Amino acid sequence: MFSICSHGFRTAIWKNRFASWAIGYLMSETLRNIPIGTIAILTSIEGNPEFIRRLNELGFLPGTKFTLLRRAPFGGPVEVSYGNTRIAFRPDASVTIHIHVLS
Amino acid sequence: MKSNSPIAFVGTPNCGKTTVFNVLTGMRKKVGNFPGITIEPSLGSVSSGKESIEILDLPGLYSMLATSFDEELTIQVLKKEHVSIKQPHGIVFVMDATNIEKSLYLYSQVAELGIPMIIALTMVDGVKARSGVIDDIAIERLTGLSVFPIVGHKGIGLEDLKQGLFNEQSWHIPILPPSFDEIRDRVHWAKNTADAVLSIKEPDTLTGRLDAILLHPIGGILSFAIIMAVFFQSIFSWAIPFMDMIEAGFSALEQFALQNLPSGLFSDLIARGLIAGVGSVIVFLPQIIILNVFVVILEDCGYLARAAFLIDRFMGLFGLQGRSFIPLLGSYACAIPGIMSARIIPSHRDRMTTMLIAPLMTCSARLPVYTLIISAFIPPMIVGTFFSLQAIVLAGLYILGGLTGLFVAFIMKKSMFKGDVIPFLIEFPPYRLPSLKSLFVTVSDKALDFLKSAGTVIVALSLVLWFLSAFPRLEFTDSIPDIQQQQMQLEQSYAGQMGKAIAPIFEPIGFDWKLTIGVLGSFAAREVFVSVMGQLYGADTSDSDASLRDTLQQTIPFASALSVLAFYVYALQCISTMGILKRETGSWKWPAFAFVYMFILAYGFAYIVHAIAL
Repeated sequence: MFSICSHGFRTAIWKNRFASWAIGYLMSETLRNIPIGTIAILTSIEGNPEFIRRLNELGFLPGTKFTLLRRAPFGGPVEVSYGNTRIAFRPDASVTIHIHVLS
Repeated sequence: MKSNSPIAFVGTPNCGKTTVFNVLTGMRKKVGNFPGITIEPSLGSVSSGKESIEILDLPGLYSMLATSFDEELTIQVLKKEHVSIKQPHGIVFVMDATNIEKSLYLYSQVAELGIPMIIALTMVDGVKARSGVIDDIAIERLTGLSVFPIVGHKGIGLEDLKQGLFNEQSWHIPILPPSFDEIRDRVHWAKNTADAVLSIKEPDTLTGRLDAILLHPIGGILSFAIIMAVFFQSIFSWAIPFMDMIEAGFSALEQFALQNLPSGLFSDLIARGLIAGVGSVIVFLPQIIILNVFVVILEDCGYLARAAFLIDRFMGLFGLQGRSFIPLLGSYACAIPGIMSARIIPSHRDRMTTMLIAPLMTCSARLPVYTLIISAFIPPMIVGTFFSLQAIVLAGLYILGGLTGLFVAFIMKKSMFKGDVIPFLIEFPPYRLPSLKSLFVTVSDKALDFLKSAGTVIVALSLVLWFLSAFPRLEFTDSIPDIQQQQMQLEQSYAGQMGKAIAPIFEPIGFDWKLTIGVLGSFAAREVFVSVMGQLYGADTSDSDASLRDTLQQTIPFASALSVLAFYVYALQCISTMGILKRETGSWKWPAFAFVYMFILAYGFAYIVHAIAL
């Protein structure tokens, strides 16, 4: 009885965790799921340090206001513009980019 | 400025540095002798009166912290850490007026080196076109350096810059910018400084409009396909008339030498060894020139970055990045210009992988072998209602080469070239008109470089092959017909003996000693297989292949024929490709590696095909 209960309890924890992950995944705004033309502010980048450094050196820093210009077909790289600069990069699995959508 | 170290050109990628360098130095290029490095900066000289200065074009970079092999080279040279290139005693800092922020960011780091500098301010016409103003006086005040505004592709301002290079008065140690601990602070400094010296009123409408088409989800793919089709068509078929002319010219020269020199060994050496060897080098020039013209135009006008963006997803499936596409497509015409164009790939690991799989793309030299064997052994029947079986087999061989290459790339990127390569990241430059003079300089430079570096290797190796097939000499009486003489000579030569000696190795894949000699002979170039077969079977290949085809059909078993096809899909049967691989990777290790892995693939595949077909 106890074991079933504990099992059920654990399942509940996992269900809960999954739900929060799924909601988090769906609700968090990333470059993958915002429409073209969205204006947003970069909040943080996680992952490959060299990649982050190069994005920063190109002026793509937390706090930068940018526009998502386009995505390459079939889930390819994204192009963003900010100030006088236009860059394109691959939203690689090794990098997570957090943003805050303005409009 | 008297010193024995050169002046270096430094700037961000796409800042117009190479255009300025090319127009200034023109054809006065020098072959830099920098041992142990694979990407060589170009070295040239400018002269004014009796004085002349050596200048070095270092790869473009965004910051003094490298993320690629190219950037690493520039940084090592500037910091006096490079083993063979001396630290420059002066820097011409090329600053892009339309992208002044990135230039200032890099400048603030380069200025810390304390090397005397001059600033060349490029793209000032780009600022004017957008109703903007760039304050070069403010840049002079800020940096303490002489600033020379330039319109590189029109050549405006270059004469002043040239005089400046020779004038002691124009060289200064830069005023040190504030020191920064964090990237953020440096970026802000660059941005604030940029705002102070540059005002641009209008957006770049031309670039915006062009990108609306060229990067459109459908229009972009369509225009990419069209541009690549024209590119492929140009190296594949526009080069053919020129190549035919060169080949005809050299074979006429060969005949002329054979007839007019006293017959014997010497005329044979001159005609079949030297003239044929030089001809086999020159014949690559049309493709190399056409491919490079295309690549330089695409790169200079700004499309290459867009093409890489569009195709990156597909190349990413195989662990490569977008820029690998151009060299691989080019390799379908010929691996030699293809491998040379791999220089456009900034990541060292990706460049190596691309060069090592390039010979797997079905180059045009395989076509004569495929055509001969297919027309002799594959029945010309129609499959379905429309496709001929021969065409399907040919297409299959083409596709097989490409797919295998991508698969091999995938494995290489997972194993030997594994590592933290940063994900694809590219800055889109505005569209610009390329400078014709710079285009001419770059392309002729590449062509000359090919002739000097790879050409000499190819001629030397062709002479070795000639020696192996011409010795030991046989004495013939006049009663034996020419064709038979050639047949016997080849059979008895060292090449023939080697073919017979190593024939047991090729026996499991169904090759007899004649086919083995054909394989050996095609090292000079794959299509030589056809003429070697002609010689061995005593058939005339000069006017039509029909007689050779019939002879092969009767003498070679079907399974062996298929095995030959399978072998040629993969085998690195090309001395010229190995020569260029050596040149581009800096050592014989890589061509040897490519040869071995491709031989294993070829042998294995031929073995399987032979076993199934038996």
